[in-house]
Amino acid sequence: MPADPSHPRLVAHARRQLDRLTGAPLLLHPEGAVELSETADAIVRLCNGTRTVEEIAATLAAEYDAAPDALHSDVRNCITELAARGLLA
Amino acid sequence: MTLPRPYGLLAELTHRCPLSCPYCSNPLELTAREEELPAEAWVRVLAQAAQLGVVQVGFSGGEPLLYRNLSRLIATARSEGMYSNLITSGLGLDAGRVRELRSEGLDAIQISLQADEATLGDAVAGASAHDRKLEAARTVVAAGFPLGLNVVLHRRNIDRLDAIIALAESLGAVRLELANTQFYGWAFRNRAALLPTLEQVRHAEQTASHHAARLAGRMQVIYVLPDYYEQRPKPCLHGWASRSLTVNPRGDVLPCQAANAIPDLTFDNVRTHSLGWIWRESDAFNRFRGFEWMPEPCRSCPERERDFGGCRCQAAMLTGEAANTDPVCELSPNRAVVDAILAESMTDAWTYRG
Repeated sequence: MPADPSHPRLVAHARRQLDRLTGAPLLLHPEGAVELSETADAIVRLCNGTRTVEEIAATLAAEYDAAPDALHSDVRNCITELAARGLLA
Repeated sequence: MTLPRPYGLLAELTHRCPLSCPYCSNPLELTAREEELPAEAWVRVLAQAAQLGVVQVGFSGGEPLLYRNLSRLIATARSEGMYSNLITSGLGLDAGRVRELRSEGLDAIQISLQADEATLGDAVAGASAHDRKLEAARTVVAAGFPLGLNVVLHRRNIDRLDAIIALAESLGAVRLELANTQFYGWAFRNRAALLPTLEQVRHAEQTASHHAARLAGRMQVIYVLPDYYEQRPKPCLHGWASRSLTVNPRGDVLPCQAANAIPDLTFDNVRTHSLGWIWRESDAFNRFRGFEWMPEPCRSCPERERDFGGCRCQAAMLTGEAANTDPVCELSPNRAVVDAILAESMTDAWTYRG
């Protein structure tokens, strides 16, 4: 399995865009599109290549008034999945 | 059943191509230049596609750079909010052209390579192409474009994966697709010269997976399995006419680029119908939507939700009936047809595409 990125960022060939039909956030890439959940979208928007996974979880926790520890594994899983699909590095 | 919406469009602008690869998936009867759809029609098609929900378009062919109004179509895709990917041989892609395409809004470029070195690469392409491809790839990277590479694998190049991957790495590709030959069109005709051995396939799988892990985060390595050697079929198109569509050079709209392989399907054309009408009403699109059309063993198989019965084109080509279970499936009563192909004697002689 590919290693998880420590400071995740959107890869250069992916583009985030809101869907014209549904308004849902999409990640577009050379082979197609991935629809993001609201949470996944919030995570992706924090992946700027400088924040760590912990920092992303902490930022989200502050925003949603949740415990960072509770969010950490969700954030980690989401990043792992998008990295496995080649969208985060 | 609620009608799904398409996300992807494959726009096959022309069948003309400077290469003659024997694994080409274009149909044996290639469309002549005079019959190609004019740019105005493509502009209309792209706008209709965006309205239908398409968010990603692949400009392909043949060689899409040979289509005179490519820039205009890329600009249209961008103004319609679609992600565009150019799927090219790389021949004709110089710095000026790359700048032009980029300024029109092209998102990504994918260049095909046939091997890691010129002798084999040129022999596969049937043209002096390899060195020009490398130059094009370097030009793309120098322009700051994310470079995708794809290499179709077959018996003569599949043992060279280490070198192929090293080349992609040295070129600075962000994505490398290693796709075993899918046997449609010219590739089906040439299968006895292209099919790798089981030993080659297993070795290649290990090599690809080793490098994919090593390069994680730097270059995405995608390995597409050779399905004749699988026990279960590929989930072709994620279900017929469910996520994407293809418009070929003459304007026929196909659920899949290989759908010409199904002799009793007729395709509607964008010159006479809108893309939306075709997506909803065309017999070719509705024939295998959902699960109702499935015979046994698919009909009662729990796997049908995952693999959709495999590939309709492959079922038609190998069993004579498109609705049959893809004969790659070990549960298919026709699996022996695939095994017979795997047991066929191999040849080194192939026919270059026309």
